[in-house]
Amino acid sequence: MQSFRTEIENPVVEKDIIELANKIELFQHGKIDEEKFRSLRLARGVYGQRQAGVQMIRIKLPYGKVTTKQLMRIADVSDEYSTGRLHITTRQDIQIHYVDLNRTPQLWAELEKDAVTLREACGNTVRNVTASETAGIDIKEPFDVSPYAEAVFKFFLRNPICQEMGRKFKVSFSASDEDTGLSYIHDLGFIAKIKGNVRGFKVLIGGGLGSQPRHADVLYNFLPSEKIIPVMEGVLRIFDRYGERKSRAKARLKYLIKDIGLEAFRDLISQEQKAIADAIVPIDPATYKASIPRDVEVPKVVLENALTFETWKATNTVSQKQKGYVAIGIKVLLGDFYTDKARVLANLIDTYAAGELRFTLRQNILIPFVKEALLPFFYQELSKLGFTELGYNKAVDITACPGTDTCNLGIASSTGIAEELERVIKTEYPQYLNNKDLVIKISGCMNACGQHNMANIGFQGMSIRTKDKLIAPALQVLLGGGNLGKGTGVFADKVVKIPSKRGPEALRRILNDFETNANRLPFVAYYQQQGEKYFYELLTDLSNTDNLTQDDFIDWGNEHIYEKAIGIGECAGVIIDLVATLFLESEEKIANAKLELEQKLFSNAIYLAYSSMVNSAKAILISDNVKTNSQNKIISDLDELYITSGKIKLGVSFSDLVYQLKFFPPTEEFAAKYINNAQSFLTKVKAYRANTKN
Amino acid sequence: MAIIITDECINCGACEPECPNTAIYEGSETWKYKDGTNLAGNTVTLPNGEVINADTKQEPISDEVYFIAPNKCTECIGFHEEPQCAAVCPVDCCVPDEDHVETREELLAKQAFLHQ
Repeated sequence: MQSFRTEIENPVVEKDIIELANKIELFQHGKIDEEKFRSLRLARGVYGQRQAGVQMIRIKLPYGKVTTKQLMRIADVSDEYSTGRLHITTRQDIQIHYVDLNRTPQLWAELEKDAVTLREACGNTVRNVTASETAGIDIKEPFDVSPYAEAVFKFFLRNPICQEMGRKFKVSFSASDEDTGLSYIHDLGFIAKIKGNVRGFKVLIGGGLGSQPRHADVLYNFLPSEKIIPVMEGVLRIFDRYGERKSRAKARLKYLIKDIGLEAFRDLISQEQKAIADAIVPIDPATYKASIPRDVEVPKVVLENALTFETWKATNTVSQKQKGYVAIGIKVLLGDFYTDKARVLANLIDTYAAGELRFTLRQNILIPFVKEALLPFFYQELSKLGFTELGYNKAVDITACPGTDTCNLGIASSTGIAEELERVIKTEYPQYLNNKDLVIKISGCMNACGQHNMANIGFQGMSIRTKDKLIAPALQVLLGGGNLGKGTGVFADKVVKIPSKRGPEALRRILNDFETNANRLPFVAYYQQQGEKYFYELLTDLSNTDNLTQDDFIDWGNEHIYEKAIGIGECAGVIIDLVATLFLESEEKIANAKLELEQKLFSNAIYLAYSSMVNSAKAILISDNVKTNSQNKIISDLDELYITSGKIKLGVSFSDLVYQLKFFPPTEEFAAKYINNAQSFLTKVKAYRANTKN
Repeated sequence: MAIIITDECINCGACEPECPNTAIYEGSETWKYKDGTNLAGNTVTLPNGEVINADTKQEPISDEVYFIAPNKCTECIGFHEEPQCAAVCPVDCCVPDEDHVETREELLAKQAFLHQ
């Protein structure tokens, strides 16, 4: 363990980083449980990797916005602690790989010097709050959603109600009804709306991709902006209490809503409102610091080829609502770029644009506020960096997760096939370079980080077994998905499964058919007209495994024979079921509740006391081998098995005791009383446990 | 034949919503004959002669991974070209169960019986 001293000014952040360093040390001396440590490090952006002994670090960048100063900092950190490669994710984060666990606290401390965090980038927390990359410049937006995304990010970061949920929670903001933030596939999605003079949002809830995609429901057609934080707090409290915890595959919010129904869920949220400190939380957009375009002279530029410039301008720039400015899209192959270029780019943007850039949902870079007159100059400078590849957000711009390159869960290569398909389009279908109506996405497994099941044409990594029991890498071909705007979308059908090496052939057949027969219909409409069976017939002979060659057993981007190797996901830290540890945690929670009470953060204090009680109840149930799938079930089971029968005497039912938080507003008096309740409950269950053990 | 899920299952859950007979369940889950079928009542005689109660909870067939209730599996005959669980399984672990071999006619009859 290297000595670690932080120079962070913010004491909360400092405490966080020191805690990480301490826990790493305890873990390495075998003093804390591995599972417990994992869940702690995940909530601090430190992830496992397919390669043993090194970590992937996810840097949380709310709505993908970074200043040039922050980009410089991230580049420095990547050079010092990682490999110099920066990977843009589909949720607007940056991931760096091959980091030594022992150095993660220093790495984090470095990033915080420019207010960049790792906190709650992974784990069962509120993940990065994403937004349309065009937020603030979008011609169609009623207003800039950035200040609202920022406020939501800040409000829930480190908030006790969402530190140990049953599963992760994803939130997005869309600038306009085009829904470029993809609200329909988020746990909570907000689409900007104006009603009268009031800013607000259409709110979608319970969407998600993964192996069982679910389309979000409309929670509100219009919710004033001052209500979004209280509503989200209600949703998180209900999710924490009712959410499934044992079965990881069924733990996302979408399953809870599917189980109990939207109306019942809505009732639960409204019942929760009393417990929430502020019924309204106004968000003042004036406090948000927007970047200011630099006032510079236009350098003289002589373009060698006017035509290539014009083509680039047509495919790689985005109009802005601010007159005289455009945004430049840099198409980043697979979202990977390197620190040497990142620094040059940062300098360029700092001097000639507005000192800000956005990482996009399609793993690209958007530079807002470029003076139109500066476009030839930017073209010249970006060309030097290889950053003028044509087709930003166009068909050729294929999304892919890291797949088997670095991810533990990957089943087959996604980046390898993505490169190959981009090559096919560039060389054989150049007309698609400027086609933005065709979306191709690839994931290395069913978890859909590459969002394959919402694409027009999607591919998912799989493995396929031949008659003689050999295993080849495979791709599932999914067709007909798409974002229809206004918070609606369709998911792609799983049409056929083919050996990976036939991916390019499948794409050719689909594109040829589309060109010949679609009559200019958009892909989604054409797919719906023809139906799944039509495409199944078109592709089904490719699925035959009787005629595989040696080459079919080598995945894209690999030299060796494919071997299936799938690890276990880390997203959700597994709960350790040791009774003693649980009691310890209950004590820790009470201690933290008291600290919050001292700082007059009553709502936080109450929630920690609540968690302590549920945790203590869980300890008792576990010691008697009772299932503890969700908090509400823990509460009712404790009453049924211990309180009603008089095994443990509380004077009231446990649910009356614990659910006081629903009925009392978060005052100092109630917080103090409730913490005492938690303390005395813990004492009683510990005594019960000690007696029954003997 | 019914389809069986081997222990290579990675518990991804992709197969579960695909099954037209609701024959697929998550490991350690109890299941019922009446889930997703038209079977009802406490004495139902299945086409293979077995007498079952459609409403009672049945013990899980696997505690570790997803499983298929063989009496509810028709290999998607009557619904699809191929077994949908096998078609979507990312690791190809939904395979024909050699202990439950049935003819196409038997499977069709079973499908009709489940959804009569």
